[in-house]
Amino acid sequence: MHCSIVPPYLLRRIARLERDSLQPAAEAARRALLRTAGLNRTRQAKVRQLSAVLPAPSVLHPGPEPARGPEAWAELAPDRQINDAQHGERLPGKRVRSEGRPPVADPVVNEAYDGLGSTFELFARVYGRNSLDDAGEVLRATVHYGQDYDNAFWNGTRMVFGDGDGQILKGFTGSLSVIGHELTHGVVQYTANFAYQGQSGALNESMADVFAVLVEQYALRQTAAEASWLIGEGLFTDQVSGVALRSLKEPGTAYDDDVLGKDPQPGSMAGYVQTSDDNGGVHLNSGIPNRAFALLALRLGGYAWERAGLIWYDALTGPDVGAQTDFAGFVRATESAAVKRYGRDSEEYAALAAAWAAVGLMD
Amino acid sequence: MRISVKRTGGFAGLTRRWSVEVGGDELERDWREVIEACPWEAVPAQENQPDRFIYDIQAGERQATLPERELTGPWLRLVDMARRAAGQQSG
Ligand SMILES: [Zn+2]
Repeated sequence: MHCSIVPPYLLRRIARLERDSLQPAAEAARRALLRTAGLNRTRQAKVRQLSAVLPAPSVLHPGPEPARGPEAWAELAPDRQINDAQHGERLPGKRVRSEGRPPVADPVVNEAYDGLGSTFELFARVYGRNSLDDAGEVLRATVHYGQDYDNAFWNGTRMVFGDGDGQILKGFTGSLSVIGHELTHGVVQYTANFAYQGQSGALNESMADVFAVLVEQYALRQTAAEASWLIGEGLFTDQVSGVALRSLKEPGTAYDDDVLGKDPQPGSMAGYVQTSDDNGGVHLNSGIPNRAFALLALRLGGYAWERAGLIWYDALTGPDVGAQTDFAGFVRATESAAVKRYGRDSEEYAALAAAWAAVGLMD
Repeated sequence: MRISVKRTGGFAGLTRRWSVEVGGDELERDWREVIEACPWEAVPAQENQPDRFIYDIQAGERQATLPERELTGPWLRLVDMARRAAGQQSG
């Protein structure tokens, strides 16, 4: 990952001590410090203000609706830049649409632009977060990357989308959950910064999946019970037997195909996969915390981005997590987040404990 | 010699394999140079970027695991050759 080499806790400490003497610092260090400083200044206050007042979600289709919501967050607005790699692999590619510009002829560009907007909406209106770094960072995406490139990724500063191979997978901007997923990798980079390996890597993947489905649910104003809980719905071509790439509610059930095999995600620790592939199975074992989140949200009912999402967001952005956090450490972080926000005798805390127990992560 | 490529990771988390069995003449004519050009002993240990592929490459006894970003030069040529040859052998 192209992240800061200085651990976040250290940045926070430096930011606290030296906020007034930053001018001579190197540009990169200054940016990193300001991001963190911005986080410290604004996040706690903003999230505390979050109450029952939730705005109607607005998908940023051409001509964004005026932002509504708590007074403190109303001024938050995205700054989007979409580039086109024109089927090459050189980044960033040619700029094709910037913030506030009208739709272009290429639907893939517009899908990316709108998806970035929907993702910004969730983080800004629900959690008071001003872009990935909570300091208004530009949201950058490159489309049409590579030849038949069947992938999408986050390179540390931008999301990059391939058009798919046309045989198994279609273009990756076609699902809002993919865009929400990639941008959440950016949020994780500026917060817990989970190392992309083993359990911390699976947590990184799981955060990306959890907030990706919340982006979709918020855009569609779906309750937990109404939502599909799928990642990458509609990305498979007609030749594949499967509805999506992953299911948070029922890991292991998203596809079952004679060529691709069966969705290999486990939904509990009993199925935990030990492997050196895929950075230690980060896209496999993410199914375990994914399902815990879905179970919590379904048990609480209503909108998943409210109580369940707040507990997860607090844990992700709070002091109890870091690059080497494992599943057990994240369980503790969510517990302390739930206690802080709702109390130990709360319905939320009980539901959280039950969800972790159901996936085998509670003694 | 068996030359095989296993690609894991990626957003979809789908594992793909390409494998080809190469006979002596063909090995010397088409493959030897690129296999020798790959720095098998000098693969950098580098944390992968989220959702990028990982390539597990084998040529006979030699093996290397590379993050997608490192798949350049002779590595890229070798993987492309293996993918193309595997496509032809299987169908
Ligand atoms: Zn990911």
